[in-house]
Amino acid sequence: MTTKNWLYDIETLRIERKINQALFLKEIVSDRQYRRYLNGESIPTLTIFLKLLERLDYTLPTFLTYLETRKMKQNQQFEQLRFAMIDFDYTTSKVLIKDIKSMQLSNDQIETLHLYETLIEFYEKLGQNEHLDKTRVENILNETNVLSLLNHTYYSSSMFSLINLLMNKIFNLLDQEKQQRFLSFYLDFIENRKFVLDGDTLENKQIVYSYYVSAIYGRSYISEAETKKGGQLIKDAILLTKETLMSYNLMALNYLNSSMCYLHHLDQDAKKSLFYTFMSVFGTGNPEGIFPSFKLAFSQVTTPQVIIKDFKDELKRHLETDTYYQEEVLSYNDLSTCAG
Amino acid sequence: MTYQHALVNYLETYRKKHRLTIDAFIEDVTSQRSYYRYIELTQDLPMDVLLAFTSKYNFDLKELLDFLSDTPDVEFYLAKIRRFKRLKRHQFIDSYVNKIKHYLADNQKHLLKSVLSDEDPLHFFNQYFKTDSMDDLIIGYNSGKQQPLILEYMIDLGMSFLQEHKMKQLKLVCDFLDTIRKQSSDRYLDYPTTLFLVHLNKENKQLMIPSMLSHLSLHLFFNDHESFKSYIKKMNLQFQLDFSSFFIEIVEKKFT
Repeated sequence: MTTKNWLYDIETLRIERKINQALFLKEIVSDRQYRRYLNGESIPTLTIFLKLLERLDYTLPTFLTYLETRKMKQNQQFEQLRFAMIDFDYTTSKVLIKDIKSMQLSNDQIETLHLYETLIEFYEKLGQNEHLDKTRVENILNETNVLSLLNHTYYSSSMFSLINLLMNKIFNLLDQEKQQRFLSFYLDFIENRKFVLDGDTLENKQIVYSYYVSAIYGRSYISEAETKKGGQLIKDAILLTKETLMSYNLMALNYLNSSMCYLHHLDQDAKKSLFYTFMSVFGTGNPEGIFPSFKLAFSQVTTPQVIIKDFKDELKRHLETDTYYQEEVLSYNDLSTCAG
Repeated sequence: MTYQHALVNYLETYRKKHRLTIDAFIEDVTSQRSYYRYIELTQDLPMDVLLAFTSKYNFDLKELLDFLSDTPDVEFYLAKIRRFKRLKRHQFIDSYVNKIKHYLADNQKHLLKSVLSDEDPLHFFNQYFKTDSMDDLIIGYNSGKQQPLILEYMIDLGMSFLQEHKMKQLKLVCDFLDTIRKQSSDRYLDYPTTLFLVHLNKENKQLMIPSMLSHLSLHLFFNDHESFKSYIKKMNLQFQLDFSSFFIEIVEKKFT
């Protein structure tokens, strides 16, 4: 990212739009000075730069969006891969990784591909050997240096997503001290000690809530105060989706609610949120890819027979009664009863 | 100087929060003398200094400017208003209108009026964009301009093609939305796009059923007014299938 490159982009846009150079520069900067900018002999001030953009009908944010869009088109496959990883769609991810590897890549991209491959391999072998799982988690922690990333104050949304992706895959296999570090990491965002600088503020808030709750409930021991706070945040985060429209988050939030309820024999709420978890999975369009991870996760709190029966019962209820999701969420249980 | 005023405020707040001395903060970026001139607004901030700060402290400049700008992104909120009007989640619309009401240009006022009154949004969108050519709008979208508004327009356009059974035109809209949603974290796009895919693939059950299951599930979360029971009944009748059995089949297969 350099001013000189941006000035080339401006000049290219000017030429594309066939705007006369003298007219373009009139009352902003001299022709000679403009050439000096293009040659990198001098740097324009922010005010001059913004005036030039204005002549092209851009503001700085829309100009940067234009550059980002152009860059994104170049990296389209990489973006598809990122979403496939988030979706647990490892079949597609593997195909995309193979294609992308034949392209010319930056060092960052090579490292990211390596991380994705490690995570896919880790996930595919998960559960086969507990001791090996833990060793591989240690390797991932060392390779990604993720624990030291937790100490920053300001995060870009891409770094924040990377931490979340890692946390999501390995949290349950971490020791107590490391789990606590992730928990504090998310709590720092809630209590305004850390900040995500870009992206939609409301969406970021929702993501933080979800991961904080995941971090609380992912541990083996939960205090009464934590459960109460987690239960309230689940409800808040679910209600927040009414405005953020982030249906993916509902998958994790309803799952957490459901598994806590199964664990503490709150059967009615357990099956209610199980149904919504599964419908969020169907909503992604990739149930085949995502269900195996839920099968594994739910196996810690209930049996496959109960899951199938509860899903069918709930579906029947929704087919026979007029139900509305937002209303049902309001009457979710108070999870503080699940502490201990 | 508006941007500079906001930016130096941001830089100074960041510096103080991190308890950095000015010397440490500006190291390898600019001189102390110049920095004082920038924060006192007596000298314009050169672009390379701004970029050096953003790069050193990992700021996302675009979002930073969006956040700090005194002027809200009017088109972003107009698009949100159109979306929440479609969703009938009226409780959010007033706050969006309040955010932009003092910043609207005349053509934006017209568009807002039509969106709020639900009167022929496509017509007013066309007036606003000064074109009804899908190709022009896609080019516009790819150039990074008016993206949120173009997306909402495309959704409305798709709905209108679907109602009028203009399947060829619907396919163009659907292809566009399908590409965008795969590169986006905006999951609302899945709801209309899966409906379009269902209708475009209705002769091919293998393609149609997964889209329908996704669409029906999203209906639970994106429609507060028509119950799941009523909607699935309507779809079962229209496509002469029992979609609930496919949900059960997949869950049984995956959990047995």
